[in-house]
Amino acid sequence: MPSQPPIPPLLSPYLSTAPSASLTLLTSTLGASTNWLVLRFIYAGLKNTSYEKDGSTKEYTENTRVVLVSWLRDGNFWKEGGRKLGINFQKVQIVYALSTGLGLGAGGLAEVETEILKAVATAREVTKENGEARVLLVLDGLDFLLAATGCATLEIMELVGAVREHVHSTLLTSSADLPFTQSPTTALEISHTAFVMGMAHQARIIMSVRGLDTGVARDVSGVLRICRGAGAGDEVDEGDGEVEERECLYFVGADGGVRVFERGA
Amino acid sequence: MADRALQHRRVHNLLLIQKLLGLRGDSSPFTLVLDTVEQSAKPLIRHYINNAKISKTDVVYISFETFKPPLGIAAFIKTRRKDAATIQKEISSVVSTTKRALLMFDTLYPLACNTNLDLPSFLSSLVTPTTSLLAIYHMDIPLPPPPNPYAPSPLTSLEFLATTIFTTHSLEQVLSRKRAADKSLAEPVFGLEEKREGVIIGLGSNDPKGLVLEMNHRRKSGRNIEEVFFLLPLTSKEKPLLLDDHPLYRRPDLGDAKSAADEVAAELSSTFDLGITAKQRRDREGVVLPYFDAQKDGFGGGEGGRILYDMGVEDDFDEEEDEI
Repeated sequence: MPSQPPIPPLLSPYLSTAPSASLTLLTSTLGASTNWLVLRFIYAGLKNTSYEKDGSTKEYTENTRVVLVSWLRDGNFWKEGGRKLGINFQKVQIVYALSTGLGLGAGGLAEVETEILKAVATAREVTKENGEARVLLVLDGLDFLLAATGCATLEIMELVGAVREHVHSTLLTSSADLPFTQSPTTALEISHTAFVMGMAHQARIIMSVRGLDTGVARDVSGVLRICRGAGAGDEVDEGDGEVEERECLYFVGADGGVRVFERGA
Repeated sequence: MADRALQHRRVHNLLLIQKLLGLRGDSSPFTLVLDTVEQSAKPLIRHYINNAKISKTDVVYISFETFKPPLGIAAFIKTRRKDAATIQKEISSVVSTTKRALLMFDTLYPLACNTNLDLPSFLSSLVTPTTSLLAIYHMDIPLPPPPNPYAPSPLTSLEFLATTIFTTHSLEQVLSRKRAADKSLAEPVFGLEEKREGVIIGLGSNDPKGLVLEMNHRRKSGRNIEEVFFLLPLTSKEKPLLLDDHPLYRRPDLGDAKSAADEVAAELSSTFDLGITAKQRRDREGVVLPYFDAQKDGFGGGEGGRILYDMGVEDDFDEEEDEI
């Protein structure tokens, strides 16, 4: 198989610059991870390229920095995957949430907020030299804190709200396995469902990956569903691009290259 | 007859929805909007904000999950990490006592989570003769288990309190359910109901081309009016219409057959029309009953009733048999 372009053409309209104050929600399941998608969002964000609907690209001048906070993977994992794509990690501020156990110590969620805001401030300071600051915040696996600390959903949502105010746009990943979203019964299931659905109500785009409904296939890794979130209408007044919904298949190759294609293609 | 019923609904219910959306009079002091992630209530909110300008009402937006203040509102209150008392204080500081105001809550989830707060009485305390309330409740966000398992959920109490309840649906999903029902097939399910691992939202959600709005309006008399509308986006400048009138929902070929069937059914149930038209009512009011004449003084007062009859040309009067 020839090497794949870093951004699959079908996905390019969705990865282009998100409008200010917007939230993008990615959900994963145990069998289908969003890591490849997160890397592509970072890549597209740093490229300073917005992808138009007709497939053409448009360069813009604002400098973008990424603040990546991951509770599920360490920095090396992201750097390794990112290097294959050609992400310049000079422009990515990584908060080592996994190795430091961010949010699990005595500081709790308040510590998470200070750490993230510190990283955002650093990223912004760097950008200031080259003009206007624009920060894309990636919160990977924030739902882990719900399970690990048992804090209330509302506290986590308020944390997300507090940090969102300081950045241009936010990318949030969360797991959406069956027990975490379907007829929840235990306290953790209820708070997890509330968190995912609460974020879905704020999100502009919701991208969900899941395994194939029909089982495992050699040439398909899973299904990607892209929907307009409940927050999609927030910026319609300003004539921002509409989100086109779509369900397609994807395949992550051994070399990390990703192919996204329509069903039956 | 079915046509007339539809026409009646069209006239009355479309007037009602425009009155509600236009905030005319104190038509609905507390409007509760139930939405899901499949169809957000945000487009409906924009209609309200737009109409508030025309009806000279201040919109006070109490934001729990909105970051950008919508255009055209009078005040934007951020609520993050504030308790109910502080929020209440901030609301009362921006609401004027003379000008009409509409308080808009973009979600009630944070308040409903607060077990120390009696949500119905908190909301009722905000409603005044000049201030009405509109609150969005997300149906798909589960609340933490209540401390008292026998107490009614906040949603139940709110539904009792509300004077109008709107429920939003996605047009595309409503249409595909109807298409399946028309063919007697199992209706498709969307989003969380799909019960598929990793699916939280269905295709056809939050279509910018419009939404289906289910209304349940309680009149002061206690009668409630239910109707389903199709609400176009604000940019189209079109008025809402009945969902039954939507060209994609109504199927003309089936529709005629159905109304014919309705007429047959109506004829079977009664042999005459119990209704009365406006002209018939006017004519009936104009009729002078004999009893009124009998009550006049000097005309057989106290003598009991008498039948008055004016002879016409067509009457064949027989001296021997008939008497007046």
